[in-house]
Amino acid sequence: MAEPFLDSSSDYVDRALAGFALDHRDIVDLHDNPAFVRAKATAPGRRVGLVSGGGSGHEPMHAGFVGAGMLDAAVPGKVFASPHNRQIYEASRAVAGPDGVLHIVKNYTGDRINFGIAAERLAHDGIPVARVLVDDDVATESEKTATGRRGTAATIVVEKLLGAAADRGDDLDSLAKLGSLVASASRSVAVASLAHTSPVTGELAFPLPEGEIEYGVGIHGERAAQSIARPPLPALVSRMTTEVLGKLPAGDRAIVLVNGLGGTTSIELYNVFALVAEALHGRGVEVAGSLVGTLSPALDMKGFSITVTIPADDWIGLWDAPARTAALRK
Amino acid sequence: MLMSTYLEAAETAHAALTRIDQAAGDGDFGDNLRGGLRGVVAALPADAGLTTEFTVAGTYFLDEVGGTSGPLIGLLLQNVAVSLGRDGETDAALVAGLEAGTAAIQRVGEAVVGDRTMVDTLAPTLDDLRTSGDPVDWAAIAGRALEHARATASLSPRMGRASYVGDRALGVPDAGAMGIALLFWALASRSSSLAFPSELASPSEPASSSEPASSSELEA
Repeated sequence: MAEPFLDSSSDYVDRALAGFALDHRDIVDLHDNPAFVRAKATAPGRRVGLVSGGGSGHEPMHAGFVGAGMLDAAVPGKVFASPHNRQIYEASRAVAGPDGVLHIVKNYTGDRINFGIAAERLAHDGIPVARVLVDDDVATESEKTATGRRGTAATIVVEKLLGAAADRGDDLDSLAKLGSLVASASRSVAVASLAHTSPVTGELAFPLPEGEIEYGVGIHGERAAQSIARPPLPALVSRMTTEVLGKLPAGDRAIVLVNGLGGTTSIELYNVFALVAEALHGRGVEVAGSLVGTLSPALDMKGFSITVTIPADDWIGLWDAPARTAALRK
Repeated sequence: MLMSTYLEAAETAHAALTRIDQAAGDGDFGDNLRGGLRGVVAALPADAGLTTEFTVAGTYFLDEVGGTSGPLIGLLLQNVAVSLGRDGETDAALVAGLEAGTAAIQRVGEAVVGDRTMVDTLAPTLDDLRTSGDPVDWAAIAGRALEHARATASLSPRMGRASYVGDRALGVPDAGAMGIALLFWALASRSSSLAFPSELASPSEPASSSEPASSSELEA
Protein backbone atom coordinates (compact mmCIF):
# COMPACT_ATOMS: atom_id res chain seq x y z
CA MET A 1 0.00 0.00 0.00
CA ALA A 2 1.33 3.41 -1.00
CA GLU A 3 -1.10 6.01 0.17
CA PRO A 4 -1.02 9.18 -1.99
CA PHE A 5 -0.02 12.48 -0.42
CA LEU A 6 -3.50 13.90 -0.77
CA ASP A 7 -5.83 15.29 1.85
CA SER A 8 -8.91 13.25 1.08
CA SER A 9 -11.06 15.62 3.15
CA SER A 10 -10.38 18.38 0.59
CA ASP A 11 -11.16 18.80 -3.06
CA TYR A 12 -7.65 17.91 -4.09
CA VAL A 13 -8.37 18.32 -7.81
CA ASP A 14 -9.34 21.96 -7.31
CA ARG A 15 -6.39 22.52 -5.01
CA ALA A 16 -3.98 21.03 -7.56
CA LEU A 17 -5.46 23.31 -10.18
CA ALA A 18 -4.94 26.33 -7.94
CA GLY A 19 -1.33 25.25 -7.32
CA PHE A 20 -0.74 24.71 -11.04
CA ALA A 21 -2.13 28.13 -11.94
CA LEU A 22 -0.03 29.81 -9.25
CA ASP A 23 3.14 28.06 -10.40
CA HIS A 24 2.51 29.03 -14.02
CA ARG A 25 0.97 32.43 -13.39
CA ASP A 26 3.05 33.92 -16.19
CA ILE A 27 1.34 31.58 -18.70
CA VAL A 28 -2.20 30.85 -17.52
CA ASP A 29 -5.15 32.28 -15.65
CA LEU A 30 -7.46 30.08 -13.60
CA HIS A 31 -11.18 30.69 -14.00
CA ASP A 32 -13.32 29.69 -11.05
CA ASN A 33 -16.94 28.44 -11.16
CA PRO A 34 -16.84 26.86 -13.57
CA ALA A 35 -13.23 25.75 -13.46
CA PHE A 36 -11.06 26.14 -16.52
CA VAL A 37 -7.49 27.19 -17.31
CA ARG A 38 -7.00 29.90 -19.89
CA ALA A 39 -3.90 31.12 -21.74
CA LYS A 40 -2.71 34.61 -20.82
CA ALA A 41 -1.31 35.18 -24.33
CA THR A 42 -2.35 34.09 -27.77
CA ALA A 43 -0.95 34.86 -31.22
CA PRO A 44 -2.51 37.98 -32.77
CA GLY A 45 -3.27 36.12 -36.01
CA ARG A 46 -5.18 33.29 -34.32
CA ARG A 47 -8.81 33.25 -35.54
CA VAL A 48 -10.02 30.11 -33.77
CA GLY A 49 -9.89 29.31 -30.05
CA LEU A 50 -8.55 25.83 -29.24
CA VAL A 51 -10.14 24.06 -26.27
CA SER A 52 -9.45 20.62 -24.89
CA GLY A 53 -10.16 18.86 -21.65
CA GLY A 54 -10.89 15.62 -19.90
CA GLY A 55 -10.57 13.86 -16.60
CA SER A 56 -7.92 14.77 -14.05
CA GLY A 57 -5.14 12.34 -13.11
CA HIS A 58 -3.49 12.79 -16.52
CA GLU A 59 -1.41 15.87 -15.70
CA PRO A 60 0.26 17.70 -17.34
CA MET A 61 -2.45 16.95 -19.97
CA HIS A 62 -4.39 19.17 -20.65
CA ALA A 63 -3.73 22.30 -18.58
CA GLY A 64 0.03 21.87 -19.05
CA PHE A 65 -0.44 22.44 -22.78
CA VAL A 66 -2.32 25.73 -22.43
CA GLY A 67 -0.35 28.74 -23.59
CA ALA A 68 1.03 30.50 -26.63
CA GLY A 69 1.33 28.12 -29.57
CA MET A 70 -0.98 25.43 -28.19
CA LEU A 71 -4.34 25.47 -26.35
CA ASP A 72 -6.30 28.60 -25.48
CA ALA A 73 -8.15 26.82 -22.68
CA ALA A 74 -8.30 23.46 -20.92
CA VAL A 75 -11.21 22.11 -18.93
CA PRO A 76 -10.50 19.57 -16.17
CA GLY A 77 -12.99 17.08 -14.77
CA LYS A 78 -12.61 15.18 -11.53
CA VAL A 79 -10.17 12.25 -11.45
CA PHE A 80 -10.81 10.10 -14.55
CA ALA A 81 -14.17 11.86 -15.07
CA SER A 82 -15.27 14.07 -17.93
CA PRO A 83 -15.69 17.82 -17.36
CA HIS A 84 -19.21 19.24 -17.06
CA ASN A 85 -20.66 20.78 -20.22
CA ARG A 86 -20.90 24.15 -18.48
CA GLN A 87 -17.12 24.28 -18.00
CA ILE A 88 -16.58 23.49 -21.68
CA TYR A 89 -19.28 25.94 -22.78
CA GLU A 90 -17.98 28.86 -20.73
CA ALA A 91 -14.31 28.18 -21.50
CA SER A 92 -15.22 28.07 -25.21
CA ARG A 93 -17.14 31.34 -25.00
CA ALA A 94 -14.21 32.94 -23.21
CA VAL A 95 -11.61 32.04 -25.86
CA ALA A 96 -13.64 31.84 -29.08
CA GLY A 97 -12.00 33.72 -31.93
CA PRO A 98 -13.65 35.48 -34.87
CA ASP A 99 -13.88 32.06 -36.59
CA GLY A 100 -15.19 30.33 -33.50
CA VAL A 101 -13.80 27.51 -31.42
CA LEU A 102 -12.37 24.06 -32.04
CA HIS A 103 -12.82 21.26 -29.49
CA ILE A 104 -10.08 18.64 -29.27
CA VAL A 105 -11.79 15.63 -27.69
CA LYS A 106 -10.42 12.26 -26.62
CA ASN A 107 -12.72 9.44 -27.61
CA TYR A 108 -14.62 8.56 -24.43
CA THR A 109 -18.40 8.45 -24.13
CA GLY A 110 -18.60 11.05 -21.35
CA ASP A 111 -16.25 13.47 -23.09
CA ARG A 112 -18.09 13.09 -26.39
CA ILE A 113 -21.43 13.83 -24.77
CA ASN A 114 -20.30 16.75 -22.64
CA PHE A 115 -18.32 18.44 -25.42
CA GLY A 116 -21.30 17.72 -27.67
CA ILE A 117 -23.75 19.43 -25.32
CA ALA A 118 -21.40 22.42 -25.05
CA ALA A 119 -21.18 22.55 -28.86
CA GLU A 120 -24.99 22.63 -29.13
CA ARG A 121 -25.07 25.54 -26.67
CA LEU A 122 -22.37 27.42 -28.58
CA ALA A 123 -24.25 26.92 -31.85
CA HIS A 124 -27.37 28.23 -30.08
CA ASP A 125 -25.34 31.37 -29.27
CA GLY A 126 -24.20 31.71 -32.89
CA ILE A 127 -20.57 30.73 -32.18
CA PRO A 128 -19.13 28.43 -34.88
CA VAL A 129 -17.76 25.24 -33.37
CA ALA A 130 -16.10 22.11 -34.73
CA ARG A 131 -14.62 19.01 -33.17
CA VAL A 132 -11.51 16.91 -33.64
CA LEU A 133 -11.85 13.46 -32.14
CA VAL A 134 -8.62 11.73 -31.09
CA ASP A 135 -8.76 7.91 -31.06
CA ASP A 136 -5.20 6.62 -31.19
CA ASP A 137 -5.10 3.58 -28.88
CA VAL A 138 -4.63 0.47 -31.04
CA ALA A 139 -5.35 -1.83 -28.08
CA THR A 140 -9.04 -0.94 -28.29
CA GLU A 141 -9.32 -1.29 -32.05
CA SER A 142 -10.72 -4.81 -32.20
CA GLU A 143 -13.25 -4.51 -29.39
CA LYS A 144 -16.69 -5.52 -30.55
CA THR A 145 -18.31 -2.34 -29.34
CA ALA A 146 -19.54 0.84 -30.93
CA THR A 147 -17.24 2.96 -28.78
CA GLY A 148 -14.13 2.65 -30.99
CA ARG A 149 -10.50 3.29 -30.08
CA ARG A 150 -9.73 5.25 -26.91
CA GLY A 151 -8.02 8.63 -27.15
CA THR A 152 -4.68 8.88 -25.36
CA ALA A 153 -1.32 10.66 -25.74
CA ALA A 154 -1.67 11.47 -29.45
CA THR A 155 -3.92 14.28 -28.22
CA ILE A 156 -0.72 16.18 -27.41
CA VAL A 157 0.53 15.88 -31.00
CA VAL A 158 -2.85 17.13 -32.24
CA GLU A 159 -2.76 20.05 -29.80
CA LYS A 160 0.77 21.05 -30.84
CA LEU A 161 0.22 20.87 -34.60
CA LEU A 162 -3.19 22.58 -34.46
CA GLY A 163 -1.80 25.27 -32.15
CA ALA A 164 0.85 26.16 -34.71
CA ALA A 165 -1.67 26.03 -37.57
CA ALA A 166 -4.07 28.26 -35.61
CA ASP A 167 -1.24 30.74 -35.04
CA ARG A 168 -0.65 31.07 -38.79
CA GLY A 169 -4.32 32.06 -39.13
CA ASP A 170 -5.99 28.86 -40.36
CA ASP A 171 -9.78 29.02 -40.27
CA LEU A 172 -12.09 26.63 -38.43
CA ASP A 173 -12.69 24.24 -41.33
CA SER A 174 -8.98 23.99 -42.17
CA LEU A 175 -8.10 23.29 -38.54
CA ALA A 176 -10.81 20.65 -38.19
CA LYS A 177 -9.59 18.93 -41.36
CA LEU A 178 -5.95 19.08 -40.29
CA GLY A 179 -6.85 17.75 -36.82
CA SER A 180 -8.69 14.84 -38.34
CA LEU A 181 -5.69 14.07 -40.59
CA VAL A 182 -3.26 14.21 -37.66
CA ALA A 183 -5.51 11.98 -35.54
CA SER A 184 -5.75 9.40 -38.29
CA ALA A 185 -1.96 9.48 -38.82
CA SER A 186 -1.31 8.86 -35.08
CA ARG A 187 -1.46 5.60 -33.12
CA SER A 188 -0.41 4.57 -29.60
CA VAL A 189 -0.08 1.52 -27.40
CA ALA A 190 0.64 1.32 -23.66
CA VAL A 191 1.95 -1.25 -21.19
CA ALA A 192 2.06 -1.35 -17.39
CA SER A 193 3.80 -3.46 -14.79
CA LEU A 194 1.90 -2.02 -11.81
CA ALA A 195 -1.58 -0.50 -11.53
CA HIS A 196 -2.17 3.03 -10.26
CA THR A 197 -2.96 3.69 -6.61
CA SER A 198 -6.56 4.64 -5.95
CA PRO A 199 -6.60 8.11 -4.38
CA VAL A 200 -9.70 7.02 -2.46
CA THR A 201 -8.60 3.69 -0.97
CA GLY A 202 -4.80 3.90 -1.24
CA GLU A 203 -4.87 0.42 -2.78
CA LEU A 204 -3.64 -0.68 -6.20
CA ALA A 205 -6.46 -0.53 -8.77
CA PHE A 206 -5.82 -4.13 -9.88
CA PRO A 207 -3.39 -6.95 -9.05
CA LEU A 208 -0.82 -8.18 -11.53
CA PRO A 209 1.05 -11.47 -11.07
CA GLU A 210 4.84 -11.43 -10.77
CA GLY A 211 6.51 -11.53 -14.18
CA GLU A 212 3.47 -10.33 -16.12
CA ILE A 213 2.61 -6.99 -17.67
CA GLU A 214 -0.62 -5.51 -18.94
CA TYR A 215 -0.33 -5.05 -22.71
CA GLY A 216 -2.68 -2.45 -24.17
CA VAL A 217 -3.58 -0.73 -20.91
CA GLY A 218 -5.67 2.48 -20.86
CA ILE A 219 -5.17 5.71 -18.93
CA HIS A 220 -8.04 5.32 -16.47
CA GLY A 221 -6.75 2.38 -14.49
CA GLU A 222 -8.83 -0.06 -16.50
CA ARG A 223 -7.08 -3.34 -17.18
CA ALA A 224 -5.79 -4.26 -20.61
CA ALA A 225 -7.49 -6.90 -22.70
CA GLN A 226 -4.44 -9.12 -22.18
CA SER A 227 -1.69 -9.80 -19.66
CA ILE A 228 1.52 -11.19 -21.15
CA ALA A 229 4.71 -12.71 -19.77
CA ARG A 230 7.14 -9.83 -19.46
CA PRO A 231 9.63 -9.84 -22.35
CA PRO A 232 13.04 -8.14 -22.18
CA LEU A 233 12.66 -4.38 -22.81
CA PRO A 234 14.13 -4.34 -26.35
CA ALA A 235 11.76 -7.10 -27.44
CA LEU A 236 8.80 -5.38 -25.76
CA VAL A 237 9.53 -2.00 -27.38
CA SER A 238 10.11 -3.63 -30.74
CA ARG A 239 6.76 -5.43 -30.50
CA MET A 240 4.93 -2.23 -29.52
CA THR A 241 6.60 -0.16 -32.25
CA THR A 242 5.82 -2.79 -34.86
CA GLU A 243 2.18 -2.96 -33.79
CA VAL A 244 1.74 0.82 -33.91
CA LEU A 245 3.51 1.19 -37.28
CA GLY A 246 1.31 -1.56 -38.67
CA LYS A 247 -1.75 0.62 -38.12
CA LEU A 248 -0.26 3.68 -39.82
CA PRO A 249 0.25 4.82 -43.40
CA ALA A 250 3.75 4.24 -44.77
CA GLY A 251 6.28 7.03 -44.29
CA ASP A 252 9.97 7.60 -43.74
CA ARG A 253 9.69 10.10 -40.88
CA ALA A 254 7.89 10.00 -37.54
CA ILE A 255 6.93 12.23 -34.65
CA VAL A 256 7.37 10.06 -31.55
CA LEU A 257 5.98 10.49 -28.05
CA VAL A 258 7.22 8.28 -25.24
CA ASN A 259 4.88 8.90 -22.36
CA GLY A 260 5.28 7.78 -18.76
CA LEU A 261 2.08 6.58 -17.09
CA GLY A 262 3.01 8.22 -13.79
CA GLY A 263 5.31 5.83 -11.96
CA THR A 264 8.04 5.52 -14.56
CA THR A 265 11.42 7.25 -14.27
CA SER A 266 13.09 9.43 -16.88
CA ILE A 267 15.92 6.94 -17.22
CA GLU A 268 13.38 4.27 -18.13
CA LEU A 269 11.55 6.54 -20.58
CA TYR A 270 14.76 7.57 -22.36
CA ASN A 271 15.75 3.90 -22.62
CA VAL A 272 12.39 3.24 -24.23
CA PHE A 273 12.76 6.20 -26.59
CA ALA A 274 16.24 5.10 -27.71
CA LEU A 275 14.85 1.64 -28.43
CA VAL A 276 11.86 3.06 -30.33
CA ALA A 277 14.23 5.12 -32.49
CA GLU A 278 16.29 1.98 -33.19
CA ALA A 279 13.19 -0.03 -34.06
CA LEU A 280 11.97 2.70 -36.38
CA HIS A 281 15.38 3.08 -38.01
CA GLY A 282 15.38 -0.66 -38.67
CA ARG A 283 12.20 -0.13 -40.67
CA GLY A 284 13.51 2.86 -42.58
CA VAL A 285 11.74 5.49 -40.47
CA GLU A 286 13.68 8.37 -38.90
CA VAL A 287 12.62 10.43 -35.89
CA ALA A 288 11.76 13.94 -37.11
CA GLY A 289 10.14 15.19 -33.90
CA SER A 290 9.90 13.82 -30.38
CA LEU A 291 8.69 14.36 -26.86
CA VAL A 292 9.68 12.17 -23.90
CA GLY A 293 8.32 12.43 -20.39
CA THR A 294 5.33 11.98 -18.15
CA LEU A 295 2.81 13.69 -20.44
CA SER A 296 -0.49 11.83 -20.06
CA PRO A 297 -0.25 9.49 -17.07
CA ALA A 298 -2.85 7.41 -15.28
CA LEU A 299 -2.10 8.83 -11.81
CA ASP A 300 0.96 6.79 -10.65
CA MET A 301 0.68 3.72 -12.87
CA LYS A 302 4.05 2.16 -13.63
CA GLY A 303 4.11 1.89 -17.38
CA PHE A 304 4.59 3.79 -20.57
CA SER A 305 3.00 4.40 -23.94
CA ILE A 306 4.51 4.84 -27.38
CA THR A 307 2.80 7.19 -29.85
CA VAL A 308 3.87 7.48 -33.47
CA THR A 309 2.60 10.09 -35.93
CA ILE A 310 3.50 9.78 -39.61
CA PRO A 311 3.67 13.45 -40.63
CA ALA A 312 2.71 15.10 -43.89
CA ASP A 313 5.37 17.39 -45.38
CA ASP A 314 4.48 20.59 -43.54
CA TRP A 315 3.74 19.07 -40.14
CA ILE A 316 7.36 19.06 -38.96
CA GLY A 317 7.38 22.84 -39.29
CA LEU A 318 4.24 22.98 -37.18
CA TRP A 319 5.78 20.63 -34.61
CA ASP A 320 8.89 22.83 -34.38
CA ALA A 321 6.97 26.14 -34.23
CA PRO A 322 7.28 28.18 -31.02
CA ALA A 323 5.19 27.19 -28.00
CA ARG A 324 5.25 28.40 -24.44
CA THR A 325 3.22 26.20 -22.11
CA ALA A 326 3.86 24.71 -18.68
CA ALA A 327 4.77 21.30 -20.08
CA LEU A 328 6.13 22.06 -23.55
CA ARG A 329 8.31 24.93 -24.76
CA LYS A 330 9.79 25.32 -28.18
CA MET B 1 -47.30 26.37 -14.13
CA LEU B 2 -46.00 23.51 -16.25
CA MET B 3 -42.72 23.15 -14.36
CA SER B 4 -44.53 23.06 -10.99
CA THR B 5 -46.68 20.23 -12.31
CA TYR B 6 -43.60 18.44 -13.67
CA LEU B 7 -41.93 18.89 -10.26
CA GLU B 8 -44.97 17.44 -8.46
CA ALA B 9 -44.74 14.44 -10.77
CA ALA B 10 -41.00 14.07 -10.12
CA GLU B 11 -41.57 14.28 -6.35
CA THR B 12 -44.27 11.61 -6.49
CA ALA B 13 -42.21 9.39 -8.78
CA HIS B 14 -38.86 9.95 -7.07
CA ALA B 15 -38.79 6.63 -5.21
CA ALA B 16 -39.90 4.61 -8.22
CA LEU B 17 -37.49 6.38 -10.60
CA THR B 18 -34.62 5.78 -8.19
CA ARG B 19 -35.57 2.12 -7.88
CA ILE B 20 -35.79 1.45 -11.61
CA ASP B 21 -32.58 3.36 -12.27
CA GLN B 22 -30.78 1.34 -9.60
CA ALA B 23 -31.82 -1.81 -11.44
CA ALA B 24 -30.04 -0.77 -14.61
CA GLY B 25 -28.03 2.43 -14.16
CA ASP B 26 -26.45 4.19 -11.21
CA GLY B 27 -29.64 5.17 -9.43
CA ASP B 28 -29.24 8.93 -9.66
CA PHE B 29 -31.95 9.76 -12.20
CA GLY B 30 -34.72 10.33 -9.63
CA ASP B 31 -32.46 12.66 -7.67
CA ASN B 32 -31.34 14.53 -10.77
CA LEU B 33 -34.82 15.06 -12.19
CA ARG B 34 -36.33 16.12 -8.87
CA GLY B 35 -33.33 18.25 -7.90
CA GLY B 36 -33.32 19.97 -11.27
CA LEU B 37 -37.03 20.74 -11.21
CA ARG B 38 -36.84 21.99 -7.61
CA GLY B 39 -34.14 24.42 -8.76
CA VAL B 40 -36.16 25.46 -11.81
CA VAL B 41 -39.34 26.14 -9.84
CA ALA B 42 -37.39 28.10 -7.22
CA ALA B 43 -35.85 30.23 -9.98
CA LEU B 44 -39.07 30.93 -11.89
CA PRO B 45 -41.06 34.12 -11.30
CA ALA B 46 -44.71 33.47 -10.33
CA ASP B 47 -46.05 34.98 -13.56
CA ALA B 48 -43.70 33.16 -15.94
CA GLY B 49 -45.18 32.22 -19.32
CA LEU B 50 -44.46 28.97 -21.11
CA THR B 51 -41.47 30.37 -23.03
CA THR B 52 -39.84 31.65 -19.84
CA GLU B 53 -40.53 28.35 -18.12
CA PHE B 54 -38.71 26.40 -20.82
CA THR B 55 -35.89 28.96 -21.06
CA VAL B 56 -35.15 28.90 -17.33
CA ALA B 57 -35.56 25.13 -17.13
CA GLY B 58 -33.26 24.55 -20.12
CA THR B 59 -30.43 26.62 -18.71
CA TYR B 60 -30.84 25.13 -15.23
CA PHE B 61 -30.71 21.53 -16.45
CA LEU B 62 -27.74 22.32 -18.73
CA ASP B 63 -25.75 24.15 -16.06
CA GLU B 64 -26.63 22.58 -12.76
CA VAL B 65 -27.94 19.05 -13.11
CA GLY B 66 -25.64 16.05 -12.84
CA GLY B 67 -25.58 12.80 -14.72
CA THR B 68 -25.59 12.64 -18.47
CA SER B 69 -29.37 12.65 -18.76
CA GLY B 70 -29.80 15.94 -16.85
CA PRO B 71 -27.99 18.15 -19.38
CA LEU B 72 -29.55 16.20 -22.26
CA ILE B 73 -33.00 17.07 -20.87
CA GLY B 74 -31.65 20.64 -20.71
CA LEU B 75 -30.99 20.53 -24.46
CA LEU B 76 -34.56 19.36 -25.07
CA LEU B 77 -36.04 22.14 -22.94
CA GLN B 78 -33.76 24.79 -24.47
CA ASN B 79 -34.81 23.84 -27.99
CA VAL B 80 -38.49 24.06 -27.00
CA ALA B 81 -37.81 27.51 -25.54
CA VAL B 82 -36.19 28.68 -28.79
CA SER B 83 -39.12 27.41 -30.84
CA LEU B 84 -41.77 28.99 -28.57
CA GLY B 85 -39.83 32.27 -28.51
CA ARG B 86 -39.62 32.33 -32.29
CA ASP B 87 -43.05 31.07 -33.33
CA GLY B 88 -45.27 31.84 -30.36
CA GLU B 89 -46.72 29.65 -27.63
CA THR B 90 -48.69 27.30 -29.87
CA ASP B 91 -48.95 23.53 -30.01
CA ALA B 92 -47.20 23.60 -33.37
CA ALA B 93 -44.23 25.51 -31.93
CA LEU B 94 -44.11 23.18 -28.94
CA VAL B 95 -43.99 20.13 -31.20
CA ALA B 96 -41.38 21.75 -33.46
CA GLY B 97 -39.26 22.48 -30.38
CA LEU B 98 -39.57 18.91 -29.15
CA GLU B 99 -38.50 17.74 -32.62
CA ALA B 100 -35.44 20.02 -32.61
CA GLY B 101 -34.60 19.03 -29.04
CA THR B 102 -34.86 15.33 -29.79
CA ALA B 103 -32.58 15.80 -32.81
CA ALA B 104 -30.05 17.59 -30.58
CA ILE B 105 -30.19 14.82 -27.98
CA GLN B 106 -29.60 12.22 -30.68
CA ARG B 107 -26.72 14.21 -32.21
CA VAL B 108 -25.01 14.57 -28.87
CA GLY B 109 -25.91 11.32 -27.17
CA GLU B 110 -25.57 9.24 -30.34
CA ALA B 111 -28.55 7.12 -29.29
CA VAL B 112 -31.03 5.71 -31.79
CA VAL B 113 -34.45 4.23 -31.20
CA GLY B 114 -34.09 0.88 -29.44
CA ASP B 115 -31.01 1.79 -27.37
CA ARG B 116 -33.15 2.00 -24.20
CA THR B 117 -32.80 5.72 -23.54
CA MET B 118 -35.11 8.72 -23.32
CA VAL B 119 -35.09 8.73 -27.13
CA ASP B 120 -37.34 5.65 -26.93
CA THR B 121 -40.05 7.85 -25.45
CA LEU B 122 -39.35 10.98 -27.49
CA ALA B 123 -39.05 9.61 -31.03
CA PRO B 124 -42.25 7.48 -31.16
CA THR B 125 -44.23 10.12 -29.26
CA LEU B 126 -43.17 12.65 -31.90
CA ASP B 127 -44.49 10.24 -34.53
CA ASP B 128 -47.80 10.22 -32.63
CA LEU B 129 -47.76 14.04 -32.45
CA ARG B 130 -47.32 14.35 -36.21
CA THR B 131 -50.65 12.58 -36.71
CA SER B 132 -52.38 14.11 -33.70
CA GLY B 133 -53.63 17.25 -35.45
CA ASP B 134 -53.79 20.79 -34.15
CA PRO B 135 -54.71 21.42 -31.42
CA VAL B 136 -52.95 18.41 -29.96
CA ASP B 137 -54.91 15.92 -27.87
CA TRP B 138 -52.34 16.06 -25.06
CA ALA B 139 -54.11 13.52 -22.84
CA ALA B 140 -53.92 10.92 -25.61
CA ILE B 141 -50.30 11.86 -26.31
CA ALA B 142 -49.36 11.50 -22.63
CA GLY B 143 -50.89 8.02 -22.65
CA ARG B 144 -48.91 7.08 -25.76
CA ALA B 145 -45.69 8.47 -24.24
CA LEU B 146 -46.20 6.33 -21.16
CA GLU B 147 -46.73 3.24 -23.30
CA HIS B 148 -43.53 3.96 -25.23
CA ALA B 149 -41.60 4.47 -21.99
CA ARG B 150 -42.95 1.24 -20.51
CA ALA B 151 -41.89 -0.63 -23.65
CA THR B 152 -38.21 0.08 -22.84
CA ALA B 153 -38.49 -2.72 -20.27
CA SER B 154 -38.02 -5.19 -23.12
CA LEU B 155 -34.97 -3.38 -24.53
CA SER B 156 -31.35 -4.26 -23.83
CA PRO B 157 -29.21 -1.20 -23.03
CA ARG B 158 -26.45 -0.20 -25.45
CA MET B 159 -25.61 3.33 -24.26
CA GLY B 160 -24.54 4.83 -21.01
CA ARG B 161 -23.94 3.24 -17.68
CA ALA B 162 -26.82 0.82 -18.15
CA SER B 163 -24.87 -0.86 -20.96
CA TYR B 164 -22.54 -2.31 -18.32
CA VAL B 165 -25.31 -4.51 -16.87
CA GLY B 166 -26.57 -5.68 -20.26
CA ASP B 167 -29.57 -7.97 -20.22
CA ARG B 168 -29.88 -7.71 -16.46
CA ALA B 169 -31.79 -4.48 -17.14
CA LEU B 170 -34.57 -6.39 -18.89
CA GLY B 171 -37.97 -6.30 -17.24
CA VAL B 172 -37.55 -2.79 -15.85
CA PRO B 173 -38.18 0.33 -17.96
CA ASP B 174 -35.48 2.94 -18.51
CA ALA B 175 -35.65 5.70 -15.91
CA GLY B 176 -34.89 8.46 -18.42
CA ALA B 177 -37.63 7.23 -20.73
CA MET B 178 -40.09 7.29 -17.83
CA GLY B 179 -38.91 10.75 -16.78
CA ILE B 180 -39.73 12.06 -20.26
CA ALA B 181 -43.16 10.39 -20.12
CA LEU B 182 -43.75 12.53 -17.02
CA LEU B 183 -43.01 15.68 -19.06
CA PHE B 184 -45.82 14.70 -21.44
CA TRP B 185 -48.01 13.92 -18.42
CA ALA B 186 -47.33 17.45 -17.15
CA LEU B 187 -48.08 18.96 -20.59
CA ALA B 188 -51.42 17.10 -20.67
CA SER B 189 -52.26 18.09 -17.10
CA ARG B 190 -52.48 21.73 -18.22
CA SER B 191 -55.86 21.00 -19.80
CA SER B 192 -57.18 17.78 -18.30
CA SER B 193 -57.08 15.86 -15.07
CA LEU B 194 -55.02 12.72 -15.65
CA ALA B 195 -54.43 9.72 -13.43
CA PHE B 196 -50.81 9.46 -12.33
CA PRO B 197 -48.94 6.46 -13.79
CA SER B 198 -49.60 3.83 -11.13
CA GLU B 199 -46.18 2.17 -11.17
CA LEU B 200 -44.47 5.50 -10.48
CA ALA B 201 -46.61 6.43 -7.48
CA SER B 202 -44.77 4.73 -4.63
CA PRO B 203 -46.18 4.84 -1.14
CA SER B 204 -42.81 4.77 0.60
CA GLU B 205 -39.76 6.90 0.00
CA PRO B 206 -36.48 4.98 0.09
CA ALA B 207 -33.20 6.55 1.05
CA SER B 208 -31.86 8.84 -1.61
CA SER B 209 -29.24 7.31 -3.85
CA SER B 210 -25.66 8.04 -2.93
CA GLU B 211 -23.97 11.20 -4.09
CA PRO B 212 -25.08 12.06 -7.63
CA ALA B 213 -22.51 10.91 -10.15
CA SER B 214 -20.82 13.52 -12.25
CA SER B 215 -21.55 13.07 -15.87
CA SER B 216 -18.63 11.32 -16.71
CA GLU B 217 -17.50 8.66 -14.74
CA LEU B 218 -18.60 7.65 -18.16
CA GLU B 219 -15.26 8.81 -19.44
CA ALA B 220 -13.36 5.63 -18.68
